[in-house]
Amino acid sequence: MTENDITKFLVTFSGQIEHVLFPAGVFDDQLYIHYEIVWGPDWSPVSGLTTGRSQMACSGTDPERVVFNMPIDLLFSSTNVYGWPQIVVTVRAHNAFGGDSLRGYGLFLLPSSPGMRTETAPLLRPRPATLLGEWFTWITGKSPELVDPKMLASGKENHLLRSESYGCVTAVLSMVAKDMRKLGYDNQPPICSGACHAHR
Amino acid sequence: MAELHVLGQLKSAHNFQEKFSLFCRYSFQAGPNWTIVGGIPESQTISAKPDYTKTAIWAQSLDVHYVTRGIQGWPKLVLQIGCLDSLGRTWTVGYSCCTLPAVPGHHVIEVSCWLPTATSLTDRIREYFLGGSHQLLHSDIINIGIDRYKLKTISKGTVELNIDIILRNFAQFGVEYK
Repeated sequence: MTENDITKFLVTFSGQIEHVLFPAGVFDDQLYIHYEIVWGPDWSPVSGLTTGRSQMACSGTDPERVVFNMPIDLLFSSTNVYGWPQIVVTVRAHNAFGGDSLRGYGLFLLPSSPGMRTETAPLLRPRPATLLGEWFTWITGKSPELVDPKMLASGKENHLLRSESYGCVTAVLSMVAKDMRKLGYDNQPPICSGACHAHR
Repeated sequence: MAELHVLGQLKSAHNFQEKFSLFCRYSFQAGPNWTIVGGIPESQTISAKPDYTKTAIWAQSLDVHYVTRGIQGWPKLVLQIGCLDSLGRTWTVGYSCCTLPAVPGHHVIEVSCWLPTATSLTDRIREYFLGGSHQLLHSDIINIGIDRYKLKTISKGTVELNIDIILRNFAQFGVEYK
């Protein structure tokens, strides 16, 4: 295959969703996360799980942190950078009565340049739109949820949504690409010292 | 033609003194040589309630694909931060503008915001009791530096942006960016 025949590039993402942190302590015994990968029109997944659900976890000696260590391993092929994949993480909790309630949504952009990256995404939760809804949330402990959490990644038509945030989710992600440079793309940060630290 | 991909997130607002929900209207502005072939150039985020650290989380994802014939007028992001109170009223609480980096890779950018102040005493009293703010009639002034000397402004909070830049074919046309 000559260089002119290349039209696609391949990108692998690997890493893990490490932990969830609630700064005022975790009051749920059974916390779990659900992740979904969202990608654009020119992208297609080649291998790996694009959705997943973690184990039930609770906090240990550190009362603020719940470790999941949920591995993510993906291979994508694409012809266009537009629509770069994102992860939507949903954090939920089971309670003693068998109920299931939302703790928040987090959104990550998968790394676009090679190397290891530790990223922290704050968790956001939709807020009830009416006063009656607020009372209902307070009495039942069930907050409003998104029908399709993937709408957060699309970034359009969400201006009517009201939200609040509490806690964060941390992930360690790394990326390796193949044939991107042959197609003319440049995603390499320059190797420099001192002068370009202002941008970081 | 050379291509520019802007990926990232309009992440959060810090240290705005308002107790109500904050939202942000943003638009990408670029010179005449630049055309957008993919993505939304203008949109609005969710309205997020600030938490105890005065941080409002938007996590608005950005993904814009530009094609360009020249490097003049490198794209800028123009921000207009608004506030939504419990009665459903909205007003502007900050304006800002930031040039997108030209270097590929990951960038964390802090953008400081400003707002026209109330100049007369009666306006100040009205703002204190009723809320609301002065706003610009012509929003060009945010990203163009002319006619600014007539304005009296007050400093507001900051907005945090995470931007990933990917360039394509710039080196082929002799553009030296690193």
